[in-house]
Amino acid sequence: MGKIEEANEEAVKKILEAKPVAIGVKKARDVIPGMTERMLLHAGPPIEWKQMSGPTRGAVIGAAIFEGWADKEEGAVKLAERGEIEFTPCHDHDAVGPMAGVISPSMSVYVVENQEHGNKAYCNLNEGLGKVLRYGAYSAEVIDKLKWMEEEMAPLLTEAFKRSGPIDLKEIISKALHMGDECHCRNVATSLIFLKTMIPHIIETGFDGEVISRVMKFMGDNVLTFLNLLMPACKAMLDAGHGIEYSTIVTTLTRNGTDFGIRVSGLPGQWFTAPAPTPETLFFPGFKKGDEGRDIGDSAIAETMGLGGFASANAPAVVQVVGGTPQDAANYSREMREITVAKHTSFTMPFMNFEGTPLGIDIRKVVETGILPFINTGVAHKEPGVGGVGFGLVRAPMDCFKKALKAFAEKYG
Amino acid sequence: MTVELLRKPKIINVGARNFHDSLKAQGADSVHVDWRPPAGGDREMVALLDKLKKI
Repeated sequence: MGKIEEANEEAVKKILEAKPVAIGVKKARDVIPGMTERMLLHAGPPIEWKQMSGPTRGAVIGAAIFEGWADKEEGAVKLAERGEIEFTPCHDHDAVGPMAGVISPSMSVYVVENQEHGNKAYCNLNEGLGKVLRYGAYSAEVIDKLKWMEEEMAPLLTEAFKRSGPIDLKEIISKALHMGDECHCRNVATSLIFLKTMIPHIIETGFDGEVISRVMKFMGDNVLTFLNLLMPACKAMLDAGHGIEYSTIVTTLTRNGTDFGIRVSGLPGQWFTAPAPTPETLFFPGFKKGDEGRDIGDSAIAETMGLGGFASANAPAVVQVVGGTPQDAANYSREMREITVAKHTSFTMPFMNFEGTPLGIDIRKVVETGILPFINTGVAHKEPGVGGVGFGLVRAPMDCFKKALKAFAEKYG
Repeated sequence: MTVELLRKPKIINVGARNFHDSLKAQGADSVHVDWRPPAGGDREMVALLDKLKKI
């Protein structure tokens, strides 16, 4: 066996061994490594204000207002233009954020620990669908909801986690894959299992019944409640396989609405980017083709982990959004076998005879076959201040993989 | 056997799918193989892939 194959085997072994558990909810400034007071984390590869997409700009404006750095849009834009806000990728701080992925110091984040290797990952709390910060909206109702989440939801969850002990996220994902979730755009089962697990501990907190009722209704109505736990779970597992010399395995697929970026295990500290594509979209009522922004969000960490589009066979309903059939869904999962080196041992697909989901994207296989990673995704409006416009399907751009292959050959060839 | 094959051709189409689609539209028994040249024919990438095969 060659050095690359050995390294890839080791990377996949570590990813499979990882055991991500949710251990709490804390303020970002208190737990995220390297977070400073005038810093905003964002999804995707590095980007500066001038190049930011509409939804990322909108989320930056909203976060600046939420933090009290500015009263309204104009003030927030001036701060960003003057370089008074530091922008840095979530991924470079052990974190992930869906869509615009903006995390500010005062926001609460889930803390996920990989009990096998000791690394941690962080993600903010999910705000629901529609007019929300992560899709670039920043009106008063968006900011009010974020404040309510900090005042009522986060303290309740913080106390509940103290009573629950570590929550096994891998087990929840494994179960949900047998209940119709692909665990990216469809997180119905994961969210229900998580809430069912937490409810006794939430009641034990002794918080006011009306507070518990409001938080439980909010989280129960939100079919993406678990997405913000799934993402750091995937991040914690994949980071375990990152930084292995000679490994060609992709440990990050992500987008900031302008660029698509990947990271590769054997090339730590480097981003390989290409322009982000535009997803094929099913629009929410009131939106139309041309409203959609380019691909955005750290949530493609799900596909990097063999979930989402890679586990399409489990959730034909997601493929149906663009007119696909159950056969198309299975074919997407079959196709992803061609660019991966292993099958997951815990995440399986009932409709594929319980075959493991395709795991370990190999940059060599992507470049050689021309088959691009298939991603299920939320879609934001292209302009700041609007919000979500639908769900879509998209492929990662080839240039990221070609650039990574060149860098790999320069380093190891 | 040869006569039978000529009477009802069985076709394996490799590469461009539109040949397969045309045959199917005319009722022919065609199987499509989704083959593409390695790295889409990008010679620089093919050379890099060959180099990495030696590691």
